[in-house]
Amino acid sequence: MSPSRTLFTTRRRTALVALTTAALAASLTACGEGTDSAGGDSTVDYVSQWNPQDPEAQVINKAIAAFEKANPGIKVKATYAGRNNDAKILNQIKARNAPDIIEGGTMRLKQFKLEPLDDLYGMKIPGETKTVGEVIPDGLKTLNTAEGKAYAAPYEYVVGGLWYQEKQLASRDLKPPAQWPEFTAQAARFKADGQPLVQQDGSVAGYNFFWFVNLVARYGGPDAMAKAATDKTGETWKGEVYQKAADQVRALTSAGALNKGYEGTTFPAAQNAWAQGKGGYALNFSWMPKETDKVRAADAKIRYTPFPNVGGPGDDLVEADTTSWVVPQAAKHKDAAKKFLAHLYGKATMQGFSDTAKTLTPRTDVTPPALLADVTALLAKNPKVMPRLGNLERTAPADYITKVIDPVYGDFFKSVGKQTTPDFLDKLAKASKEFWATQR
Amino acid sequence: MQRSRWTTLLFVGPAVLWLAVFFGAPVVATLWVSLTDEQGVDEDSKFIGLANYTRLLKDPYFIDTFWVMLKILFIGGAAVFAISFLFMTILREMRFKRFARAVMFAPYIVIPVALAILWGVLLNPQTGLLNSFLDLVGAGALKRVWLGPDWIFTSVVIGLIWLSTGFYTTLLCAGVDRIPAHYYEAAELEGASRWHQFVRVTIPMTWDVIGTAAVLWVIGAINTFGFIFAFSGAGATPDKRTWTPAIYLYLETFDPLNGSLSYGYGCAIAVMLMLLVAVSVALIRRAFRREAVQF
Repeated sequence: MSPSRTLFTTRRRTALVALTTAALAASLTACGEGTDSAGGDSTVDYVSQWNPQDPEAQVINKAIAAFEKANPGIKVKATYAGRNNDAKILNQIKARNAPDIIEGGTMRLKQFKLEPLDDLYGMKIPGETKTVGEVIPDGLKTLNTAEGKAYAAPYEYVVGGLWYQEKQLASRDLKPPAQWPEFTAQAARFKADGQPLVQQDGSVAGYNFFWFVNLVARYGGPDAMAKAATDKTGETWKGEVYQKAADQVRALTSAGALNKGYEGTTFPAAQNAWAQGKGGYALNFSWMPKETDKVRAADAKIRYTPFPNVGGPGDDLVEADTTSWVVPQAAKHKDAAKKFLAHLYGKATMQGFSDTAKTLTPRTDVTPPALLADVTALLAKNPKVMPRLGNLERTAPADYITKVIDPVYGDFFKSVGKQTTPDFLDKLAKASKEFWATQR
Repeated sequence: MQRSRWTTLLFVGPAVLWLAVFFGAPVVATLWVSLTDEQGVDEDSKFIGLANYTRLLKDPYFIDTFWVMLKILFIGGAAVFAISFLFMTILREMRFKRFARAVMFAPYIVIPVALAILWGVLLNPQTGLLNSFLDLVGAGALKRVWLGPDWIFTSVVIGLIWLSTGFYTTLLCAGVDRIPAHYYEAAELEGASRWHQFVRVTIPMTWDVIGTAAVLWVIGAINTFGFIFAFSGAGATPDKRTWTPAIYLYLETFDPLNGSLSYGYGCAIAVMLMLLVAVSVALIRRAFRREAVQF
């Protein structure tokens, strides 16, 4: 045996021992972290959809500090990964190192295999007498429930409808429209001043779609949209409900009620124009007033009114969505995660979301942001809630919207009335049938 | 000899290892995933052979994106090279040509996403500079909704041409700069027109550079992605008329708005694009293969 070979062998052994030791140490560390007794030592891995500078992150950080103080055995590691947080954690899940809490819109979170949270709903909020389930209104629970089980815990919610500036209506002696004809009739008053009834960023397909969604729901009820989308023949799209809704969209877009060139306006140009007092309404969700904070005049008073009724079975439906927390099935610290979530439902944290992030929270005993006072007043009446996009996102595959709705409806909406309703619905039916034919 | 082999290994080894780990392994992994029904979030996926590829060849959405890509490749390519040759010819004899080249090259060093956002602002139908300018010069009849359905694809292609022309002009100019001036002087003395000088002197003597430029354009055109995505504005999926295979790949794999996740299928698209690039490059290189001109 040559000296060099001996040396090499020795070095290799040393390396092997070092590697084995490191692996053992790593696995022991992992075991330590894996302890999932809510009272034991755990580190809850929380992947947020907010960025570190977002106001929500400040509220969450404050809640973490209070939670860790009250529960010395549990640490919370928050990662503010931004809006695509779900895509960023895929490799983490593949490596069998799933986070314990993921945060996001319910439509995006459905892609994960999730832990039912019914037991979280039954947990007492620390320092209070109520359970988590008792502070979440039924409507919001429904949005986070599938097959009778709660899969997500909502902590912020958004509501769709028409937004306007009080001055814009008052100066024209107009009232917020309760019925669709009242709404469209107001276009003439705005047109007389060279302003559009509606400011619309045509580049955002989802915003364009809101019109059709709400009209279909008004004419056909909350399930009408999902019913047509899941019909594999596509024929449902040609029904009366959809014709009526499409006719109204066509009339609106062809009457010059929208900002000129809306079909080629890139977000946020139209939204900013609305915020600066050019035009009447913007159809959007309750995140919009906050988004325009820096653009609109200081004295502009933002008001909300629900989507106008048409005298159909879906009148008064309110389109809503939530930002929620979920616990993946593969999470290693489920109990600790749920304990932390129960803590987050405490009044102080929820008031923080309302005050700092200016968002609506599920707790009715929290003072809502003044900017959203109209929405809060509406919700106090406990209206019927419809999941965003008429429940389309939960009932059809995720790419149905991208491949069928966005291109076909987008062309119709942006045709400025050039495309007829029957032509649109034929194309929609055909595209829907083709889509389902490509599904395995 | 023994020492020499170890020395070679010492120098080549790290590079080979680097290539294997950072280039070879991802390609192999992509190939493997393309043969599975991987969804991204499922921890287990199963081998499905060539099913993703057979589905892809029948997928009407993919086929549509393929046509979009071909239009960008050929129509955009023809325009980029025609304009670049024109500029190259003008710049060859121009004073301050270095400055002019630098100005033309500038768009290429700016992030395409930033440029695309700028284009969105310029082309706004009501407040955009282009329509405002047309109004100002009394050409209001030419105003269009540039980012609307009728014009979006054309606007994207024009944007890509504008973005690329400076780069290709610079590249071709570098090739022309190598040509000794006496070739042009001789051609002029013999009465050759500008066109003949271009065809008989410039083209043959920059043939290798043109070949390289063509390869770069093809790779860029096949993989067109970021510029179109940013062109659509914030929070928006690009108009379907502008979907390239690369955009379709992204939407299938990571759809940022709707959460569609089909890793296996997305990898199959990636492999197809890789093959397409490889075949196209091989064909171009073959088409441009000539004996090198010595000068």
